Amino acid sequence: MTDVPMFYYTTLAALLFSIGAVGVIVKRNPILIFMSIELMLNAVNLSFITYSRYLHFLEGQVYAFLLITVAAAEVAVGLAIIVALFRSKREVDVDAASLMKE
Amino acid sequence: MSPADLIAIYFYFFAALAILGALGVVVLRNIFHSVLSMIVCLFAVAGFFVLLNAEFLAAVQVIIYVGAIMVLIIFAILLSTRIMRRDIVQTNAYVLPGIIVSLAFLVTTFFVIISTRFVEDYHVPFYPAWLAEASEKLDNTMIVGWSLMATYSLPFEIASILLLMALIGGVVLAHRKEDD
Amino acid sequence: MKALGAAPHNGILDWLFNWFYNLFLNWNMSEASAAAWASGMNQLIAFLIIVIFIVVTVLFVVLFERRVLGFFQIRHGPNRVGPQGLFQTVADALKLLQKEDIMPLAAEPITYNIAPFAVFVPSILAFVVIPMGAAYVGGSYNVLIVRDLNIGILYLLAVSSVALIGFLMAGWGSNNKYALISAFRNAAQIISYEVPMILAILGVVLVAGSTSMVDIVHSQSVVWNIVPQFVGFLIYLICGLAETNRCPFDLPEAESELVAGFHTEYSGMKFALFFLAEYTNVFVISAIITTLFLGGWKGPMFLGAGGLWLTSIFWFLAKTYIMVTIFVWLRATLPRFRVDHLMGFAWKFLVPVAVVNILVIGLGVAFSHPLYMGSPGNINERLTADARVVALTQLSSSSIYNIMFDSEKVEGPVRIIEGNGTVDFGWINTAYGAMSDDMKTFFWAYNVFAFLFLILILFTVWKVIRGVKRAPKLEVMWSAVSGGEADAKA
Repeated sequence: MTDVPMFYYTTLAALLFSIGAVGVIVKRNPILIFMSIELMLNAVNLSFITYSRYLHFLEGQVYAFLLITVAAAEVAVGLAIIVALFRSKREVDVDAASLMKE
Repeated sequence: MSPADLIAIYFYFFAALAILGALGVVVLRNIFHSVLSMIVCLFAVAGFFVLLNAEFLAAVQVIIYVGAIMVLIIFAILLSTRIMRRDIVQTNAYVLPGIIVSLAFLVTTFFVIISTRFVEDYHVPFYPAWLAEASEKLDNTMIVGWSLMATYSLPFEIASILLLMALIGGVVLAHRKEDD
Repeated sequence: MKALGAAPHNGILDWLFNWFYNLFLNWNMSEASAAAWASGMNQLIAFLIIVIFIVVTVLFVVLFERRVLGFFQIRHGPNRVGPQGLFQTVADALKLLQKEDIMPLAAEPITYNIAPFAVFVPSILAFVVIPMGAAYVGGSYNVLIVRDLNIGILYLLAVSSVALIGFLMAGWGSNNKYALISAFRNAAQIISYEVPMILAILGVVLVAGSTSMVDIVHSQSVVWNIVPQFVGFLIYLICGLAETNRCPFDLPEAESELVAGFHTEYSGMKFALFFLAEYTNVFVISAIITTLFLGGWKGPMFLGAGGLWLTSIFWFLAKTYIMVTIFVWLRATLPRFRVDHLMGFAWKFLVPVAVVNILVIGLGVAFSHPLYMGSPGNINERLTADARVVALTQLSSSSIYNIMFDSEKVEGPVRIIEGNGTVDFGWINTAYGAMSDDMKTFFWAYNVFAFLFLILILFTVWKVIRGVKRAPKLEVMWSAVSGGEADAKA
């Protein structure tokens, strides 16, 4: 077993998650919001793997794998939405996307 | 120096990289620099995966996140921003409230973590006990593959359908209409 | 379990190898050699040897390409610096070293300066998991590899995706529209071609039952993957060309459209790093093709056990350089793709073909067709428990089968290279009697195939040498055809 306590890993994951949360709340550019969400997903992944390692919880890796799949799917749709937004508004700002229809 | 010390050193190194990279995503003003610091953070997380005996996921993390997702994000930046206009204010008016909310979340999570008692040596009933024992020695790729193909084949199929849906959705959304 | 055919002593070769191995090649650490390993100096020397091997390889590949290109275009290549131009690349590198390092005013300093390293370092890192040979040391069987990672081939894919970020950094950091367009073309191309590439690799992994490069090589003991998976080989070759930006996929460097591609703004040593990275990638992709499809270091081991290290390295390098020659051949032959054709080719042609390929191989593996069984290291083979397979399985001490179906036999790490019974010739000698007629057929097919391959190597070498000698005569002919007196005088 590694000597680094599990507590360190989980705290680090929480810290990364919080930083990602700041990014989501604070940023205006949807791409940056997107990256912050990816950061939060990564933090969750990290805690999954940590539990998988320290609690012999083999499913943790499977969950992390499925989470990465979901993140990839999210990127495909999300970036398409961002590009579509840019086409209609000519700028990327979440505040600009305030109308239901152009 | 024992292997445990080495692992601890690696842990602190990756932790520093991960935190700096994550802060860079939020703090830096040039969006391309944000992407690069995000990549540093992703590498650090992949390093943690290696330390935690999840080599397969470390490789997947680098291949999918760095090789595909971040490259696609750079593509989106090229398609949606003016490159020459570099340092612009990327934040909105909620800087202080955002930081306060996140700090509150961090403190709460921290107390939850230190007050939780985890059940050690938890064996999942779906696996034979010897497989759980052998998981330290077995090929990590095999463990994940075995789980995905045998025990968790339904979530695996659902995930693949989700990917197909995302593929079609992406094509439909980004498709340029003829009259556009 | 003791190794099968114990190494017969072969005098000088044995001694030479032991010296060589203990000094330089003791990379795949075992318990026994760990103590010797710990003595410090050897590790440093081994590291230096690896670095020197890589540098020499890269320098040689550059020269090799120029000479072979010259052969294809009926002209001399560089042949002035050193014997047969051997030091031409060294001279070029020295020239580039002393050039002024210019950075454009508008460039972003950090991104611009990191980019060459972000491109070059991953191409070097790929050498870690490439098995370059096998050897007997003290009666046990070892593989000459820096680290036999269990995620071997995934590691290679991960490493190559890092270089992609380097290209994008170069394009963005130069602040030059041609560089940027080139970088984005490159990214789009590599992402598109990675999909059929991974599908082609999947076929190999299916047959081998492992992602470790050493296991993949061992799975080709009876028949090389190029025979049952020829389609996969072609797909991987095409995708490898696209990944390394080689002709006909050199759109990112199309000098008629983009000035020079993503390294337009680079000069001096930073340019040299891009240049070297490209040729390192050519060698690495060739070595990967060798490992995945051409049986790695396997071949007729004509020097016996003592010379196994020499013959295995010889086969590895021979196969790899044949692949490099094919890369150069394609460059000398084919024109460049058009951008829309490029994407359409990947998504509309290669991906469906690769999927069908996977389907065929998967069916073959599922129904235990002898062509898709791999050999001793295959789980699938052990699952079909007939007498022949049991006889073969006994040859291998490390058995995943044991761990999966007989929990009491779990002991030690799963993959034990040291003392593993899967020895090229020893395995064949012992196992030949245990083979069924099917296996014997493939055994002979393999050896005949390898023999033909040897003839191909000799033929190629002969052609190149003959071409070099013929070149002056052709020059005379050329001046005679053009009829210019001035040409003849010049």
